[in-house]
Amino acid sequence: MTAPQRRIRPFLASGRARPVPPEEPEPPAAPRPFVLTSGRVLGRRSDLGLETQVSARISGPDPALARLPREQRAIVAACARPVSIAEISARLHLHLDVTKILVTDLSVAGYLEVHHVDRFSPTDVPTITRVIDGLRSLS
Amino acid sequence: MDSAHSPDGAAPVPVKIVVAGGFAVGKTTTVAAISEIAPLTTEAEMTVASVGVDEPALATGKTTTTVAMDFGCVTIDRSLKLYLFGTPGQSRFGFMWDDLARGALGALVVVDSTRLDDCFPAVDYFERIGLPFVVAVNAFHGRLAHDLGDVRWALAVDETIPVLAFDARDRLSVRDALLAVLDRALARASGTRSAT
Repeated sequence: MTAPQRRIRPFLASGRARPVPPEEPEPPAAPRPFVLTSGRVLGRRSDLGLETQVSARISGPDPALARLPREQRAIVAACARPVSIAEISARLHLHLDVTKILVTDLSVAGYLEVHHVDRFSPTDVPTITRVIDGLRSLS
Repeated sequence: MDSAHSPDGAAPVPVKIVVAGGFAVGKTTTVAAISEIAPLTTEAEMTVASVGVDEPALATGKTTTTVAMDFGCVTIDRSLKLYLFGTPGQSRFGFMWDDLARGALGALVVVDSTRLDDCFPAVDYFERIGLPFVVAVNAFHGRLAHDLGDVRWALAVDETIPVLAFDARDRLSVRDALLAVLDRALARASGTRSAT
């Protein structure tokens, strides 16, 4: 009964012929940005600006937070004080549009409050005057 | 979560000024000079036409690229916060500017006087959308390659657009450049208050 064995290829005969586990792909350094949004991208028009302020509606350890994916939990945690969309994006290393989508989701779900301001109020005379006075007082 | 409570009181009203210009003209230095936080970087991914990009791999005409924006902020008072966004001045990133310019008080176009053409797309854009802007020539090591009159002539900007020299590393110099932008913003707001 040696004949069949001789048909075994040398490598397999060497005893290392264990079924090779499917190779684990190298985990990417970070998920591709839009994986976090389930592939959703932002429409051209979002009412969230880079400077739009966002704050958490819940604080401290909240059981509701445990149900959220990691990135979303991190966003809520980053918003303990009001912060801008740009700051969330920068501090959590999330792409800007991904940040906007996740913030919108979290706002709809009630975790975050988005502080919309009247679109034209930032450019009115009293506001500009206050900015001028504020800058002049810098030394 | 019906019992909404924000522990730290009201959010400030954010206002912003765009700091535009070509690569390495001193935008981030400008932001850093006056920002109360070390400038942060946010990234946006976008599809851009690759016309004029000298890379064979981009010959398909479109590519996805990541654009980084540096920004900082200055707290004006408890209910008002000024953000400064430094943005790439290349025309191929133009549509990102719509997002930046929306609601902005104005723009500071930072110029290296040895590479004036770098700022053309930004000047064109702000002129087209009617956003108040000021051309600020960064005096590297205190020197300008051209005098301001020549810069104004080369840029062919309106007489009402200030062209000034500043030092991007100097806090008060940056402050004064921003005040020039705000002066333009104020002129527009007082003149065309109902033009919204």
